[in-house]
Amino acid sequence: MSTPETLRQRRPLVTGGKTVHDVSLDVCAPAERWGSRGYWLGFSTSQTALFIYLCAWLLVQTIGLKLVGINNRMDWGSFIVNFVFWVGIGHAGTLISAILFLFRQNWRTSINRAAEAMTVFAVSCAGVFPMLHTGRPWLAILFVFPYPNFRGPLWTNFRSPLEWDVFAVSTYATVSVLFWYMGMIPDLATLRDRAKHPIRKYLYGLFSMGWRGSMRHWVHYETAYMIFAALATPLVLSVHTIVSFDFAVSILPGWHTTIFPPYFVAGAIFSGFAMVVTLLVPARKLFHLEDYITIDHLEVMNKIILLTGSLVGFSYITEFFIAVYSGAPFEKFAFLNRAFGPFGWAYWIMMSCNLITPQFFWFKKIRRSIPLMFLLSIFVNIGMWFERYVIVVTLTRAFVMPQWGTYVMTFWDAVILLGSFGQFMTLFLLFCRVLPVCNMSEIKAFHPDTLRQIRESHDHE
Amino acid sequence: MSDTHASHEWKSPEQRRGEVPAASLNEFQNPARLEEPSDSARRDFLKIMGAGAAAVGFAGCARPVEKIVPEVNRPEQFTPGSKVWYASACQGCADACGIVVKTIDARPLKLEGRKASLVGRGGLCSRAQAATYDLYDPERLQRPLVAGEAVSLKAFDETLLVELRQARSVRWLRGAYPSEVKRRSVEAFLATFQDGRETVWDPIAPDAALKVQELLHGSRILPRIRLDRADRILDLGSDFLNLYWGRLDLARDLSHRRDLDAFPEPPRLTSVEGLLSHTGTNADDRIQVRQSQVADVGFAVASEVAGIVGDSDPRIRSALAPYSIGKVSAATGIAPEVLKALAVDLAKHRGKAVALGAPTVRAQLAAGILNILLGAEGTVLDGTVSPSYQFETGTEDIAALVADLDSGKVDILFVDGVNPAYGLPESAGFAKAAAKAKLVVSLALHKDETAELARMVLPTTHWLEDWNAAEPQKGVHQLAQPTISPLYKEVRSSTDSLLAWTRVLGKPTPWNAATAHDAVQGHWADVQSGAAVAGTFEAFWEDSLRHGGHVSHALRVAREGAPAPRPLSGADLVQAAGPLSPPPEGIELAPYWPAGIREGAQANNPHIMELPDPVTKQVWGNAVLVGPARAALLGVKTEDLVHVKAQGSEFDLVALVVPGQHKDVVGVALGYGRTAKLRLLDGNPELPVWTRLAYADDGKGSGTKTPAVGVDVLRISKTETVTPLAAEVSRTGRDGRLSATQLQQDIANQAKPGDGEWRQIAIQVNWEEYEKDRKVGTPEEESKLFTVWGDPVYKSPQQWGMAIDMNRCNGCSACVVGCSVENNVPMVGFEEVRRGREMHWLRIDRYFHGELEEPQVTHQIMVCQQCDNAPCETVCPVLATTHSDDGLNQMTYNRCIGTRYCANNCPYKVRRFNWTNNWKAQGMFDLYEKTDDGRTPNAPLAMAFNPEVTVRSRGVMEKCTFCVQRVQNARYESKELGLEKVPDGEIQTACQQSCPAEAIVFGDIKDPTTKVSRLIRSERGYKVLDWLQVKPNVTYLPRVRHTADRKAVSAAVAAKKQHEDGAHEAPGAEP
Amino acid sequence: MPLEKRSPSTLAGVLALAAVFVLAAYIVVVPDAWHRATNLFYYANQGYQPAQPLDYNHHLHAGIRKIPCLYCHAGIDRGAKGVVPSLSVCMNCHMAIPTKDRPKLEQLVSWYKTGTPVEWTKVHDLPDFVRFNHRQHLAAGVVCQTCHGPIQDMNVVQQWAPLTMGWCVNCHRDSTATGRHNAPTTCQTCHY
Repeated sequence: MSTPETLRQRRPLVTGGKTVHDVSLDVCAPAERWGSRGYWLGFSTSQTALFIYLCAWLLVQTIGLKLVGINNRMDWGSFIVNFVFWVGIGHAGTLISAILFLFRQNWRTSINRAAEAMTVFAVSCAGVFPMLHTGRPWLAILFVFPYPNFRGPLWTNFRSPLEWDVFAVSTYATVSVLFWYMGMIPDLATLRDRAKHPIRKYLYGLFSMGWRGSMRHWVHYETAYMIFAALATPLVLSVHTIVSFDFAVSILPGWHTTIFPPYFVAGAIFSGFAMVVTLLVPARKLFHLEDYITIDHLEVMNKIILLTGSLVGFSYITEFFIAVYSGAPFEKFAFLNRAFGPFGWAYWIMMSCNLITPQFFWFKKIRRSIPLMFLLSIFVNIGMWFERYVIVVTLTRAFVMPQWGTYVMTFWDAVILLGSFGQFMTLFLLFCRVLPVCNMSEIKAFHPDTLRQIRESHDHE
Repeated sequence: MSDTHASHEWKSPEQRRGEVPAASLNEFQNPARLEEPSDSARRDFLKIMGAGAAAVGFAGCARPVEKIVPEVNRPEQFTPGSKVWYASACQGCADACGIVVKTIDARPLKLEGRKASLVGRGGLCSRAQAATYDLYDPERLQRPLVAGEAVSLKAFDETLLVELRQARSVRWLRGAYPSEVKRRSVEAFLATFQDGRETVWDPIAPDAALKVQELLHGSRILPRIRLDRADRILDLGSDFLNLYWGRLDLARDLSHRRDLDAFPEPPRLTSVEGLLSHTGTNADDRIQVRQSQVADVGFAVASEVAGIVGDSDPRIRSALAPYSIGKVSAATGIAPEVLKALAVDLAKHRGKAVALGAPTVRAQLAAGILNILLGAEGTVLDGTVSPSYQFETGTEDIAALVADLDSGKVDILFVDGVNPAYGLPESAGFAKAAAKAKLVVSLALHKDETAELARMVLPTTHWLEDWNAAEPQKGVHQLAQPTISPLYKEVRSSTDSLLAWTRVLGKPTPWNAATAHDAVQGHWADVQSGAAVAGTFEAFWEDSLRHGGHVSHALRVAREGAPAPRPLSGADLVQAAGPLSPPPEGIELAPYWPAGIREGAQANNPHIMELPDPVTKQVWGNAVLVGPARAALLGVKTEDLVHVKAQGSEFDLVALVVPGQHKDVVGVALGYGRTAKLRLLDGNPELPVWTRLAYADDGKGSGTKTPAVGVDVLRISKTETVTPLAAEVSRTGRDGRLSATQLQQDIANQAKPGDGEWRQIAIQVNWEEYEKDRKVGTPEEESKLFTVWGDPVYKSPQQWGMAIDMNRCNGCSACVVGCSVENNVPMVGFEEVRRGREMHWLRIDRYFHGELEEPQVTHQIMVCQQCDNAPCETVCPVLATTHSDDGLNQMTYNRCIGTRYCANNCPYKVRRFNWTNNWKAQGMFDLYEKTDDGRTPNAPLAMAFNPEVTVRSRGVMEKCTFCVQRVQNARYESKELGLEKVPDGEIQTACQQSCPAEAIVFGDIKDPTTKVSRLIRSERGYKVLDWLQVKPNVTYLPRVRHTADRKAVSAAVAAKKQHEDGAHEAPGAEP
Repeated sequence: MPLEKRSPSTLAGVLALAAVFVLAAYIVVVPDAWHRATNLFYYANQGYQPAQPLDYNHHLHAGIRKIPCLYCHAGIDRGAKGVVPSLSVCMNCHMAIPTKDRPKLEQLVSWYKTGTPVEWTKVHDLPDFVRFNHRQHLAAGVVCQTCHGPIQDMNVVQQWAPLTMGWCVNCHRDSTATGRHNAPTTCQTCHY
């Protein structure tokens, strides 16, 4: 808990002279008001996308993976790209809520809820792909988890990075859901107490687990939150490290590199923050939260994007240099082929989006300009999708030349990629309507008025 | 010796213990079976339907209730589910190689070469490997047709007899097959008419060779070619590995001579050709020339050789007079040094050199003259002791038949098992002429193009259901026995029909035979008396059945000796050789017979249609093959649609750029573009589900599909089908689509100098370098990576490994089909192959080395390397692929969930994923599924499955298993015999077994005495990508090219360049 | 606090507890619920006893009359598949046995005379990706009862063993451990 002294010099986290009571009013408003036209437009669009998405999966699962572009030369395709992309997106939330919490970054209070929600939804989007990209998902669900069975018994292969993935991602999903939910309990109670309709009252009551805001509750809450933060922190780093092992542990030139773990993590945070910006910029407008998610918040995030973006760009250059400098012919070929081979265009999209785009954030004007940061964040998202694409299409030119192939995404690849955004947006928009978008209790804790009261109480003694 | 061979032929312990199930050998001798085949056919059906399992290898969710339907009377000694091997002879083509047929539950499932046979000698071609899929083809005709109406066999005979009784002039057209039984049956039948004549015709028959043999030696007898005695081979555009008689023996002998451990020096094969032919890819030297000028080059070399060896025969000298090296090199643009060097080299090896000519009279003559000059007669060529009878002597020319028909005096034309309506060029006008005959009767397996012309169609049995006997080479008697009774009630073998009709017409049949079986026995009695074999006929017959034929010991000995050379008969060679024609202008279109599909008879067989061409790797159709230089001039690249105009007619076809093809020659494969209404061709409306395979999208995603069976060049060709035609080729600017297992982009990549070499995957070296250093080109030890994995320890006393000699392999792809048939590998069709989803477990990678214009080709067989540190195993999350006690990398289909990480992580890319339920998509599972009219159209095809191998379904990874089913069988059989280990050579993988070149050796690598261990220890052996430390268990022996000295060749190239430049500036400037 | 009493979460807790009790009760009350579960999840068809077109009685023939198994199932020691005897084998004896007022025997004989094959329902039905070889096991001295159970006491054949992979593997493991046989347990012993 930072002392009032340190806080005095800072810019207020809540602007527009909002009182503590206004916080409840404004944050609960979306959940208590009928959605605006803009909201319903967005919601119906994303729901349509979600519906098409489900149909596409149904078709691909009934006819077979021959519908998508992968082939015997290149056995992984857009599904794995999307998986890694979404898992990456899912990093910002936990980082903001856990690591920034441990580092006492109070500015996180107004954005952490949304960021965590985004994390949970992104991970849920990601979770679909590894399961459904398998040839026989109905068996995959049975076989990938180790449990006593009637087959001898037959266990799973603990040497396989895919098996590590199963644990890493499922753990991450579980922890982030619990963390998200636990942080929400006090706010759910607020919603419960404000609710008029009996069903609303009942449901919010059910999920707020009888929170009364008593001193005892707060003490437990704070402790638990601290513990969760401590638990979640290593996960932020571990998950994408392990996802990167899917590639790094293989023996393929272009995949088999030790630099992958750090640069995957950096990339994940990079893309995660970009996605937070992409979402919050319209959200704060849509739900009139400009006074809580202030331009200062966004600027801080852009700084982080700049940092991680530069890290990522640095790793790109390093791995290329090492590959060419090492003199390992296959390695050298793989990277030259990436840049100047048939998929060079993807490589240069990746480079320009991930290396150049963030550099614009050196300029304060751009950091603080809403439209520009929105645009740039979208470029970063595109770039990060292509980063994974570039890595995966390395498969088309592996060791044995006669088995070189090519990769053309089919119609269904595209539908499923876009559809997953439908799933993501549907969930996120639902969240905005039924749950508190900002962490009310914490905002109140760092509200100028609260701080003044604290200061006064200090002065009394 | 026959006993030792027998033990090789008979692969089950009963056989080794000499308990040949006599009953199962006798079971077809009972004529009753032939009279009422329906019973046994039904029983065969019940057997599989009962055994059920065969078809459905599918980890379903619902437990299916299966039935067991035992026979009412099970034949003596017949054990359900156990293998019985029948020795027989292949009737797929005129070569009549010896085979053994594996049958399970009375179903022939796999054909294998018979080691003891003197023809084929254990190898088997792709066509024969795929034969079972012809036998079980659901589109076989099942009832006779009269004017399109399906009738019973009885009714058909009655209708026909009316016609026969009043017929005067009858013609019988049949395919070439050296069968005395067939010949005499036809003879006897035709003898019942005033004017009956037989025509034997085979599209690939070496008619030109026969003519030239007659011209030179006065008899139409093809010599037996013993390449194992040849140090120098001059291939004048012959593509002999593909088109010559006894081609499996040629392949075997060539590869045998290329065994670097057995011989001090490999032979030198020099190819003179315009296209890059299958044989050309195996040449040590290639000389590019227009296809039409191959003969000229031959004559030029001959005249030079004549000068060197000082032959004084005036006939030859006068014939060669116009062909001085100077003139020819001026006309062809080949540097004279090259031709001189070639001639000197050949002359130096007089008596050990041979020339093989293209199937045109002049090329054959050039080859014939060279062979006389080089003394090949009597050493390499055997024209006297045991010459080839494969293409029968005294055949009438097909042209005469057509003329007869055209004159309208022919009453009845019988077409027996051949398809002239497709196989003869348009210009021959067969269809028109046949229409003038009063009646055309077609005896056919399918409703092919000819059957569509015929008013009466009699479905014949597949040859696996027939009795027959053959004499492919003098004194080599093959006995072909049926391995299943006819699947359908209303079909009959043509020999049976002939005998039946002859008897009804009241004339004597040969050996007074009522059935083919009697006739064969009658003939066999003659064989016995001819060969003066003592003992009863029954004993001889039994013995012959067991060994698939009979060859007298005397002949075996004589064949090894030196035959008497045949003298040059007094003929006018000058007229045949003709003058040297002036250098032709423009492009010439060279049609050729491709290796897989050949003349197109098997165009309804998925295994053949999806067999990658050894050179182009194209499947499901043909293309216009263009050399790189010509492609640059035309501005076309692979997959462009080009417009070809020749002989006044024209067509559009997709282009395919082939390195090393002559600038002025474009090639188009024959055998494609058939129009019959069959599922893999123009589509069979009755079996819609089948048509998917052969159909191609339009590439624009509009969903419209068109047959992708290519273009039939014969529609525009002259009678001599492989003569080049003057043609115009232009680009249309539109894109075409072709399907190939090896994307064409890699040609350009690999032709980059040096690229591909540093990978050290397919290593080829030059003989001179190799002589100096046996390890030349193979990767060094120190290049290996550091590894944390220790050396593997296997519990089993044996560990399996393989050695592949790329110096022996010629890329014929028989192993590919053998593997697919043995392991139930599905064929996926044009579009899927195009997307890189072919399923072949075994592939032959084709590598180009050197320049685009002068490439050298290496064929590399690529199978699962069964790595000790298999990278696929560590990454599978569910342990679906693991390592076995005996060092095999085992794939457990039912555990596989299809993450496909194993395939990504496989450096050799040998793993294959089922992107959809391939067999289901082809209707193979619809065993019980009935159509509206109650037929089960796909039932027969499900009988082709090998019940010893699981049929994989959707979402499952699969790969080469080293034929683990064979390993397991051999293991427990040896165990029962009380053996600690499986004896060496007891297990033969399907690919090894089918390889005519013996390029693949499989066995125990723990035991240092086995053949495979010896090869692995060979100092030139290397392992692909060994530096990765995945520790593969397949050792490769590099391709060693015995090229002529470099200077001459480079001079040639330089000279050729000059010539071309000159030609561009002033066309026709040469003298 | 009254609020706490009425807390809906308490209600949820009670419901969850109730569900657990119901499940426990099912497992206790319903006979061989566990076995049913295995059948459900692993297709172990233990106890499967379909009706057959011809009610042949193993107890009578193999049990009381002591006819050796390999008399009817001749050739099972030569091939991989289980051999179900053909009608002619039955008739070896039954042509000497009067069929008068024995409808079942009459049916047998009539089927034989008319050449109608009997369509038995397969009882021991392994998945098609499992390769079981009778010949190997008989050669190793495994008796029929090891897998088929006390067949000589069965009036109607039923699947006695679970025939799950674990069941096979255990036997292979034990027999190797005790040194009775050398039964491999690598995947491709049964799966290829």
